[in-house]
Amino acid sequence: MNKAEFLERMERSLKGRVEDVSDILGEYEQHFAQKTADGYSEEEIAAKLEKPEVLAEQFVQADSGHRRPISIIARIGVAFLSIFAFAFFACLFASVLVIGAAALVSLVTGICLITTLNPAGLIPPMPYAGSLLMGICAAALAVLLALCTIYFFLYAKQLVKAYSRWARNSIGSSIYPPLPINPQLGPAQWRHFRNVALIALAVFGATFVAGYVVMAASAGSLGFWHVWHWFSSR
Amino acid sequence: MFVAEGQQGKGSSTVNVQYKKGVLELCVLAMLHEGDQYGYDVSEYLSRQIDIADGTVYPILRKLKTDGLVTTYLSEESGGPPRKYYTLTALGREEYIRARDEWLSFARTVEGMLK
Repeated sequence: MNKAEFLERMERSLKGRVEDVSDILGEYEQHFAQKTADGYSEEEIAAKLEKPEVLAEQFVQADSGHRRPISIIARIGVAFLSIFAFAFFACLFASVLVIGAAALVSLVTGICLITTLNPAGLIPPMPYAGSLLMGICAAALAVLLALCTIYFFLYAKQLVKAYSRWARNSIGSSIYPPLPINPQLGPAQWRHFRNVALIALAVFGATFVAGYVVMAASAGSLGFWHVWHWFSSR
Repeated sequence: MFVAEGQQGKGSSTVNVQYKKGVLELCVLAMLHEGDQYGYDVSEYLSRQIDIADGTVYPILRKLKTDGLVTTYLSEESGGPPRKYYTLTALGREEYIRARDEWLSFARTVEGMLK
């Protein structure tokens, strides 16, 4: 079997069964050209290639299962669902922003309490020991909220990616592996994340309790805010 | 050890064929992970390493392309027709890492059992 015969038999077996037959034939033509340049005869090359009918069968198999018929209903369904999904993701990212803002507010409050800065007289009178403890407490809360922001952001991002992949698989012609919906952090990153969160939580709890005790003791009342007239109009 | 589908005896099961095909796909992905390759180079290298017919690599490349794991581009060579190069897509890279790790852990288990 020479080159012309090989290509002809291949073309006959492929015709009407796969797309762009010329693309496949071109690949084998190049194979012949390369091998001929190395000094092999066309018969030798064809013998080493495999029977063209067998190869054609493999090409047909390679293409099968990919041109799944996708109904128009499925496409409309996914498009419709995507509207809701998009709204949901927008809400998710908005709440990430809100938690981020809360983290920033906690941080500013903490700084004001620790440094006794009192912008626009917003911070009511209290002893410095209590102010310092509550300031640290607010800073720890800021760290916790910042971690929440990061985690929710990663979660929302991964969710969007997983949804996009799913939607593409549902209406596309090929199947890609599905993506997990939870954030993909490495074990070391997870460990750091957890350690920082635990320390921040411990500091938050301890300073809150200590701050309350200090203020209650210095005011001589559990409701120290009444004693110092925090919420009464002057 | 590895035989192309067409050369197999009638008794071999389709599971076996699918299994070998998967391994060959992984080998092709590994080669492309090293760098872009011309179809002929993949065929030459693989048929020299593993006992398969020269022609069977092209259907594998075709399958990887329909799966979205590789794409092709044409590159002009000096003094010759443009060559078709195969390159891994981002998805192909992702799939290669996954399949490689799966294969390696499987191979380790088998090796441990055979000792």
